[in-house]
Amino acid sequence: MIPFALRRLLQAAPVLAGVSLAVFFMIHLIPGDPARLYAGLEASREDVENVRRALGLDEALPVQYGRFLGRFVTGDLGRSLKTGRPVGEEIAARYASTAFLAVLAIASAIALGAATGVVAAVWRRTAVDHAALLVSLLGLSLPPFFLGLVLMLFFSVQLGWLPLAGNATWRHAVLPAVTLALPAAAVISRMVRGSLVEVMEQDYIRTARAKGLTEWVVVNAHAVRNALIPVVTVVGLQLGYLLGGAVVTETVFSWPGIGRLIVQAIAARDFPVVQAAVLLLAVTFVGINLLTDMLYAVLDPRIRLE
Amino acid sequence: MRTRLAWTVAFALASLAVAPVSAASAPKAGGTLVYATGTDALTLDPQFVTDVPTARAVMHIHETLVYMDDEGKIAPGLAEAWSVSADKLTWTLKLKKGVRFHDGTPFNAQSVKQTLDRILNPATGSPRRSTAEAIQQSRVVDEHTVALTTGKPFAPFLAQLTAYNLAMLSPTAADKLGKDYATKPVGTGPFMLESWKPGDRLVLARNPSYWGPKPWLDRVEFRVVPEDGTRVLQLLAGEVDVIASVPPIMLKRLAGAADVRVLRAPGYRTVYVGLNNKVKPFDDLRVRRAVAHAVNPQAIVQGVLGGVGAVGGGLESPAIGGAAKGLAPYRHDPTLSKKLLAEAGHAGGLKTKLYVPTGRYLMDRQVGEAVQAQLKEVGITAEIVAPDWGALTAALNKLTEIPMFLMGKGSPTGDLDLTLTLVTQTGGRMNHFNYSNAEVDRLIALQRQTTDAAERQQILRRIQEKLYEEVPAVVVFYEEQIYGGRASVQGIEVHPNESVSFARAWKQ
Repeated sequence: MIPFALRRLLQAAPVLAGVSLAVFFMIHLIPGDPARLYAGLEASREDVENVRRALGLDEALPVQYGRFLGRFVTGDLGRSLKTGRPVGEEIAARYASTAFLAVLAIASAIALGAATGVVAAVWRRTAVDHAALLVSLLGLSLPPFFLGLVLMLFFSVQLGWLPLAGNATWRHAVLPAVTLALPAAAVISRMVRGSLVEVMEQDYIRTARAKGLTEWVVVNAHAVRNALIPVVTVVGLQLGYLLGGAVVTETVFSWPGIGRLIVQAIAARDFPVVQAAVLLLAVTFVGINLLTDMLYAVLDPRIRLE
Repeated sequence: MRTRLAWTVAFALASLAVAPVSAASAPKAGGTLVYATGTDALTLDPQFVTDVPTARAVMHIHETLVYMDDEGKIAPGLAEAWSVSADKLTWTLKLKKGVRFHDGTPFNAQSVKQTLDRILNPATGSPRRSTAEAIQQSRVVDEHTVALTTGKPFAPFLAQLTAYNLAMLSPTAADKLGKDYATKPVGTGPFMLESWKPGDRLVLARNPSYWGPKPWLDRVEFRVVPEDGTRVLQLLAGEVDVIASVPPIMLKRLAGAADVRVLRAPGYRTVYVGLNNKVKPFDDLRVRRAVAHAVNPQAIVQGVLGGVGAVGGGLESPAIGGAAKGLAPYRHDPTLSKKLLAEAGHAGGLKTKLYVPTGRYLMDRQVGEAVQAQLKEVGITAEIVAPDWGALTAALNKLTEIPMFLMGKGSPTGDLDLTLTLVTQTGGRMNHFNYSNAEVDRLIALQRQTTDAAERQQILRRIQEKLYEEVPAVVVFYEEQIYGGRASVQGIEVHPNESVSFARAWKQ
């Protein structure tokens, strides 16, 4: 498995190079001059040109890109155009906030989604199943800003149990994590149900039942594991999205995550930050995909990673 | 120094009255004030500040040589006295004695010189180098006296020194830290930086050896809460003490709440519909006047802004010293407007585009839509275009692409020279109207060199009247600043240049 992982990581290099090139040139295609945006409308032409030189934006694009790559491979991400702070610092703190929330959200989503999914599959086509479907649909369709505000009004304003916004303590993370977890849980729940229903109709399940095993053992020991492969794929994708930062949820709950950072950086044409953040997200996705693939092999020994 | 405004009681919202702090309640020391703001500070280096929210944080840590009071008079800051030479070229400033920076470095003439030399040095890369460009030379006369020389007589010199970009920084720290000064600022101000987690919170602690009256508060926490609704909820729940930029739609909600008050203060910012004076059809004065008669500012302030903001006809907010008083908006008269359009050959109406920013000024998008509807009544069909700020400014700066736009202008220094030069002088950096009038240009240059205050006022008045007649832009409203606060908070100072200070604030 180790050589497989190494090979996959090597294969990721051209993907990342492609991403960086695409992001670099895409962001330069958007109208808007970063030096002017930074200096402000009222800045004199000399000030803007001075800033352009100071930020190294006066050179040809390929030169700028080469310079970026050169620094990148030595681990230097440069400084934010907008704040002058080192990009690495800027992104690390935001990514940590986002990752904390994402892990919390995905863990809750898995617990909630798996539980409702299994229940719905075992009691399929009953009232329980229909109720689970309804709740999932709701979880998927509520826009996060609405869900977030409703949760805030109820748990913070009415009941006063949790703080409204910020990220000082773990209690601050509860509501945003729930806001993010509900739609993810809905997807996972539907996937678990579908996959489990399919497995439950297979011959080996009938055999297990014929052996006289209790339904509990049949479901948990025999069916669930085989039903997990598509679920793992979905969980991986959801985690990837969550790690990319959830702009709306971060905004509603004043969570200093990477989603907000990227949106602000794009608005300011803050290339170094956009560049580094998008690359980081690409790495995240590659990493998650790799983990997902490796998990397949763990779950199903018939799958060989070559 | 700055006017102190008390919280107006919430139920008296409809009035603009601002009552003075009652003398009965004595200030109490201690505690942390939490201030929720929509945007984070970008830097704590004064020489790199380009926006208001950043300036608010920076100016708790740093101070300028002089300040401007609400009447537009210069008041002492780190400089306690000043004089200008007979040839009006050399300004001599006497500095306050016994002032130290947060790192212990004494504040003296040398630190003034080094601060000014730093921003003027192109290698520093300040986006606001031009703030100091009038200063040709800074010279240390003695430990507590500094002489600043300009190339030409420069009337707004002292006003210029009130700019946040020219706040004093510790030369020791600036030399040692370079770019990292942005996160480790060392000023002379009433508060010092304690910690900063970008995007989340910035914590300031009382400067125990502050030279002036010591702050009452132990700490001030600037919290970033981007969502308007969240800020209001946090204030109502008591999670924060003060919130910035209350949206007009939320005023009712705050008015009905106990323990919460609303603070309203006039501002220097004008929001206007700019017309490109060099592009058809707005190159014709009759068409520009037709637009002025079609737009109904009163209806916009009442209907869209819920009564927030003031109405007027002059391009400069009446809150700025030197602004011409008594310029009413052009009379709302659709019939006259149509007549003017017909005279200009647009009897059948005309089509144009109105560019609006989103989220930059108070309800900007909605204001744009209201203007669009009012123009429609006189036969002007304006399509709304709302690109993001970067794209909008790039297009505006081309000066040929945008016929009509909604924009705003504030004034960090509160001196008309700054805004007139930027916005209405030929080739001015924010003259997106492409307005050019030789007489106006001449008068702008003249007022800059006229050091006699009364005479300068006369010239300024003439410039503004000329602009009023020629309608490079139609004024929609003058922005009003709205803060919300817990009733227990007192002594917040809001300045019309949009700065806010907690230096004298306290909590019951």
